[in-house]
Amino acid sequence: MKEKLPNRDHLSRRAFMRLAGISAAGSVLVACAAPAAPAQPAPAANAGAAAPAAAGVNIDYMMNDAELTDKEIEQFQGENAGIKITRIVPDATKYFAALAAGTPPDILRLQAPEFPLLLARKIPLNLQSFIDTSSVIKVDDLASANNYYRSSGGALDIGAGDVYGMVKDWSPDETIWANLDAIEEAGLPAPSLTEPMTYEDVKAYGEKLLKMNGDRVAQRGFDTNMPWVERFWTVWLEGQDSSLFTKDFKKMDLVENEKAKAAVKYHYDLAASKVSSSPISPSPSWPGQDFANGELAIVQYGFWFSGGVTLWANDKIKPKIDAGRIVMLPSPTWQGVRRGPTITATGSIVTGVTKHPNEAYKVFEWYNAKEPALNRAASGWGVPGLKSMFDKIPKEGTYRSQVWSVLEKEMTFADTTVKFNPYLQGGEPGVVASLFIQFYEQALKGEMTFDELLQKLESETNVAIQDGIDRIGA
Amino acid sequence: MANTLQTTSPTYAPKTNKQFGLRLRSRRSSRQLAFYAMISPWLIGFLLLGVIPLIVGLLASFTNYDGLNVDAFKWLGMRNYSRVFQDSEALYAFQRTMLWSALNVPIWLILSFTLALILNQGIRARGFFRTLFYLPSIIPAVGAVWAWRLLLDPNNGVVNAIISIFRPGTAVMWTTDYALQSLTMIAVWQGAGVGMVIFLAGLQGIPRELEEAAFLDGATTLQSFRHITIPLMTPVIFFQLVLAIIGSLQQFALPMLLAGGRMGSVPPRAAYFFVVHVMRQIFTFSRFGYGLALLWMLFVVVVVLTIIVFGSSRFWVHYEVDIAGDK
Repeated sequence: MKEKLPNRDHLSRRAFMRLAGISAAGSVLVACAAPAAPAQPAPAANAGAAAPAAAGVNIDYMMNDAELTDKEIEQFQGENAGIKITRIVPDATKYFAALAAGTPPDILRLQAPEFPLLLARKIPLNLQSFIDTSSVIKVDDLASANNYYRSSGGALDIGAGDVYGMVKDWSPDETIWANLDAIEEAGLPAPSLTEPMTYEDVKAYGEKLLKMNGDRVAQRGFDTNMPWVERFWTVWLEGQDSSLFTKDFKKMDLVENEKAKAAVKYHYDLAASKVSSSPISPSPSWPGQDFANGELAIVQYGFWFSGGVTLWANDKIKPKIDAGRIVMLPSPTWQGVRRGPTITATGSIVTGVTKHPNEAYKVFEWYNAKEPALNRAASGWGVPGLKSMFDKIPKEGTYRSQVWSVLEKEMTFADTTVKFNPYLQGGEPGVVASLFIQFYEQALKGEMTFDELLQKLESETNVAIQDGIDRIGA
Repeated sequence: MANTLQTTSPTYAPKTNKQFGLRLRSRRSSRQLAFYAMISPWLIGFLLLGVIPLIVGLLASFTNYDGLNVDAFKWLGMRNYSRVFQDSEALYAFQRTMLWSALNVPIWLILSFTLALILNQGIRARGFFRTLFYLPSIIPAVGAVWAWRLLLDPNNGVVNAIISIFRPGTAVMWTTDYALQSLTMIAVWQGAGVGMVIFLAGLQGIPRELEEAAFLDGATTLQSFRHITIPLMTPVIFFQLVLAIIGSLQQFALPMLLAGGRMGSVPPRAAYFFVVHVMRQIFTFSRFGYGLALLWMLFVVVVVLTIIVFGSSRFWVHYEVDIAGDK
């Protein structure tokens, strides 16, 4: 009888399966990996006025390709031999990884609510000395939206003082867009193009503009960008000398704050009545596209949407734009207070650990005050960051002249700088908006009450604030 | 010649054995050298991109690192791990993930195996159907989910439009109220092709003579399937099962895409999966340390489940080779 010997030269099925399983499990393990250990950021090197470019310097600019085009980069490089711009598409993962490796982009795209946290971590470079000696950018010429990137001290002192960054362009973000034909079809009076409505008026319009077909929504009445809700609440509450947070930003002040509760309730009610999209009446796309498709009567997206709606409108809506039936309306008032600040103020900062502060500033200055800034101003996608460029905003034609007439007046109410919490990540959505979006579905479906939603929002936000405080070591 | 051999053989023989041993050792060491040289690119990559980040990730899971607080992060010990059990959202997300896996894995396995069985028959246009079923697998997930969102949209979607022919105005919330079921459908639709191809390869490896012998012995098709096809396919089923469980527990892209696909999107409550919760902890709340602790907990769960499946395999996985010889 032949004895069967173990054959170690070939891989048995069982061994193969074992190895395959281990490999597969290993793939999960790899997912647990963190970015490499972060390096200690070097102290910010504020090298004074922009000096001639060193040979062969590369400046990494984290910016979208539509916002910093190849053509613009080529033009800059043609005029500034020795400085190369590498555009990096904004990506949180990439940014954190680069920061952890001690090589963050030299210039970083961000929005105003993100700035306080970065300033608290001493990430931006103080540009004041560069601006002081600049022949291109003058402090007096900075539009009010730039105040979001100025600080007289720490992260709680934002609004004035040294310049740390600039808006690439900005928009009074609470202005609303209305489809006048939809309003007329509903038998409603056309809203004033000059006088602001109240938010309650807008809600009433929305309720009457909502068209149902059985359980299906044929047309939504009014919608907004949900990731911005906490920014809206911040603006509304500051207009009433209140806030979502205690004065030191170390606690949320919601459950016991009637003014804050009313602000949250506003958006909750819009969702509950299906006037706005929500988890109980989801949009297949996003509110801007719904409006551009003629499936939404009023949308709140601010001035920047004047560029977007012309681009995204379908064949049904396009003629309405030319005919002046798609209009921008002034920012509604909350509790009678008229304000119209930007809540996005998208811009850029130079990172403090940049190895080439002079060249980085040169690129920053070019981007914010020269050709790219002029191109953006003339595109109609945003108000320029420099007052001297306001005359470049398009004003010709039925559509553009109507938009300009509202914008011009709106800008006189846009000089407020609201305060954002420096202990919370202020992305889009920020922590509060993100928690609201996470939990309001349960309240809308009756799985929790509105008060329980507020309690959940406050308790979870307070945990996040405490985490932020612990991390900063404040 | 013979003399020469006789005189030289006593000294020659031991020398030959020694030389043979040296040659053998030399061949073995050169084979080993070749082996390590060949695996070194992967090994170096695994060490640099796998092992080192894993160690850093493990260490970071014990801290309050948030991506920015390089100069101020604190060692928290096991606090991030104990926090997991107090985080009701993490537990909820884990529960949803297990439910999704329990739904997705068997449906996917059964459907892809069934498709493979059908296509393994001598049917007409077999190549065409094979391509057809495999096609969804090559569509990028972003495009696939986007298309499904349009189909399942409660107000303008094709599915509700068809239902509305019979019951006008129907607005079933497929992507929220039935998010789990919808995701399962999308995942199975997209993944069945890949599973089918692997099962098909397994089916084609089954020796024909076994089935022929069974038929000669009077076995019916069902008996042949029950006693020959299924047992011989169990190693493949086992392999697919392990991968499917791991893949399902890691599911992240589909619910995020269903929610809009933006970094800050929040999926519907029913599809709030564990890795989605992890992503939110890291990128929305800047809790890198805690997020990594959650991932390590997931890893432990995956390992435990994998061990259970491996442990169970001796009772249901059939190996053609003599397993005793492998022991």
